Amino acid sequence: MRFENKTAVIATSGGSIGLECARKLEEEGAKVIILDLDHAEAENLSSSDTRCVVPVNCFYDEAEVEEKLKKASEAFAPVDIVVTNLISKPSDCAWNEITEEEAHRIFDEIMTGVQTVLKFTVPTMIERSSGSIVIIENLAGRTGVKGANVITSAAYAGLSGMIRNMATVYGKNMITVNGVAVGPIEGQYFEPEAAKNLRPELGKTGTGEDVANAVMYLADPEVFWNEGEIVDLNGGRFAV
Amino acid sequence: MKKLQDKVAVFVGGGSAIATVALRHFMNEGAKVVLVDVDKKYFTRSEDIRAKYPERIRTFIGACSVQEDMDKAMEFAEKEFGKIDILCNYAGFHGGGDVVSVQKKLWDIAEDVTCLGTYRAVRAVYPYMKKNHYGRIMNFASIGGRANRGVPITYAGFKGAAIGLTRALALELAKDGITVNSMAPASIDTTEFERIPEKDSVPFTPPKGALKGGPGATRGGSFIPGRPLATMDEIAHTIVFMSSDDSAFLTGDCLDVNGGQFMQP
Amino acid sequence: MKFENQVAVIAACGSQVGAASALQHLKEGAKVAFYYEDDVRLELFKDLTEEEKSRLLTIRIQDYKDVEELKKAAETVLEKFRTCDIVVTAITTDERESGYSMSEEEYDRVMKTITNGALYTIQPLMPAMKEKKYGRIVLISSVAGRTVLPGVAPVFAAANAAIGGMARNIGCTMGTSFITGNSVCVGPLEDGSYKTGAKVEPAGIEPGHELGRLKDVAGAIEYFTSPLASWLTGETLDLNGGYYMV
Repeated sequence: MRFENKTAVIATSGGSIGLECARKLEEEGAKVIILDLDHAEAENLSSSDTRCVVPVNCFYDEAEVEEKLKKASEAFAPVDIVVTNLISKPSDCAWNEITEEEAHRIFDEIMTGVQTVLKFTVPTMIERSSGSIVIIENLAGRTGVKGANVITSAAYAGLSGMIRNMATVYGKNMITVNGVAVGPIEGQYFEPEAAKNLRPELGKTGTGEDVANAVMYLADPEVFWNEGEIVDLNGGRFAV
Repeated sequence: MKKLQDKVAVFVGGGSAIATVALRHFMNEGAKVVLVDVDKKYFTRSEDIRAKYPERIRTFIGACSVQEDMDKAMEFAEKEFGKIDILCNYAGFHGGGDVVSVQKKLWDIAEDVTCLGTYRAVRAVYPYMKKNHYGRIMNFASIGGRANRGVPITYAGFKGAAIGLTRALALELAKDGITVNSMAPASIDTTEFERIPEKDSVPFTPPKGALKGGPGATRGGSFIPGRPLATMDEIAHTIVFMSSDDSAFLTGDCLDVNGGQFMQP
Repeated sequence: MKFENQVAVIAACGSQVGAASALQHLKEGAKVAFYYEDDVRLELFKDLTEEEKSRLLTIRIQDYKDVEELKKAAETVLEKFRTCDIVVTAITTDERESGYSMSEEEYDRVMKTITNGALYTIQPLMPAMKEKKYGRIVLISSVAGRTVLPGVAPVFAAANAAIGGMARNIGCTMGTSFITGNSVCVGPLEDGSYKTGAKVEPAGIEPGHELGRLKDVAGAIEYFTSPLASWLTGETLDLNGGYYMV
């Protein structure tokens, strides 16, 4: 079992990606801590001796994230793997009518949320000289996607910048930091205006399991040479 | 043949070292320029050029973190020079810290200036470019947001975001004849100018072993011998290209300017 | 004049881009050696002044896959102009039989015209650039080699991707001689050239500017051949009107 004796934190806004990552990691022997913004979703998951489900109100609230992580890791310490699946749902408006509050909210939900979760998980990884971080981002952060909100596009691209930077900074601590940039995925929110502009004849909609497989590859302790990589998972709609 | 004959440009963050050198090139190529910055002390760098071309350069005090300042800056430019063809967004914020140690205050400033600053400036200039069905928008990003560099996380994250914002805006503005591109230089030799410390930034040393930019970068270093840094004139060359009619078919692109330190496929 | 006293060798095949770039360099004072495969390439030179004509050397190439022919062409250039500062390869070939059922001869022709054509043009001119420790090499390629486009013949994608690799390789290996290598990667152009053969051709996103103009490409080439482009090497400049953004 690939992830035996490992503990993974999955920080998710909700949706199939977070759920499938948790499920598959557990299948491969990991203990999982699921921090879930979607309380209804969290309610349908049961905690067990290999799974700790923690509803979260705000991923960029440092006090809340720190406290909840600390409590959850008591039983499941130490944390070896962090997977983040944080998204933002923008209001429907013209590109030049996004309010200051909305812009900040979007950056906070996507970028600050990831930063906060890592702030409280990376130090133990540094201490132990070991860890894998996989950040789920979005096709709109990788290339121009017609119909995608300009600020969410920017924020997802910001995650790309963070991934590469953290890989550079923590590589020396034997921590790998990589990303998966997803196209439309079944059971996972994707901006509707953006989705309808993606070329339909290329590939079907991906599944949460497709993403989880990529995440497992990047988080696998045996596969250590991936660093600062962003895997594009979009059914062939974008390739570089 | 001058590349920017009679074009009017607004430089947001126009007091920076790079912007000052770009200003020289813009003057040589026939343009008029409005420099926008937060404090008049930044304009001392361009004193000589401004004295040489008094009828073609204006200055304006305004911050890209305030929408109203950007609106007023563009209104000023239109009034002074009759139109706006080019917007160059130089304003950025280094900040400091890695993902664990970054201070919230610096994170917020980086978000506000580096990424949202560009958004506000583009929003402000849009009506003026739209009515002439012409525009060139250049966002000064960095290799720090594009490739593997041990820069502060505030810089990597929000320069990366600025590159993403560029692509998204390119899609929105294409129908109005406006191109939007970014550029990602690596380290630049700015020693010609005295360094004005960035307000609120904290000194940041990447952990030992992290890939750094700057002189002597070995892994992924420049392939040009004896040349670890770009000159500001070389950077200005790219800015002129992106601002001219020569780049009419270029949009949503991020131009790398790094001496071969990072070569995307 | 930007390129005064500089010598530019521009190799054209299958597109008017080479001629457009040659014209631009001539107008800025360069001496230009223009390789071409078809008389139609010379059309853009019909309005040259006498002085400009005196700086232009045209060399007809029968076969861009012929290493000896391109060596001889380089010799002719160096005999007349004594040196070389700039090399631009704008070599492409029309769409052919489609996809996987392509004959081996056809595969060979496409691959070699595009990749060997570029290589054989550049190779014999390298010593002159290495000697003076200055060079600007620009290779034009198609976006077909850059990203996913259903319907594109595999050999066309491969050959154009190879051009990008060559540009990066020149950037890496020739840097010590202060020679830069870059590529401009184009979508379909207004003269009908550089079509990818995709089911749906890539198009620029600005209404009315879906096809690249010759002057767009010439402008991008000049960006890389300029004396001030000394910090640009191993770059790929995507020139496709916003179709593909990375």
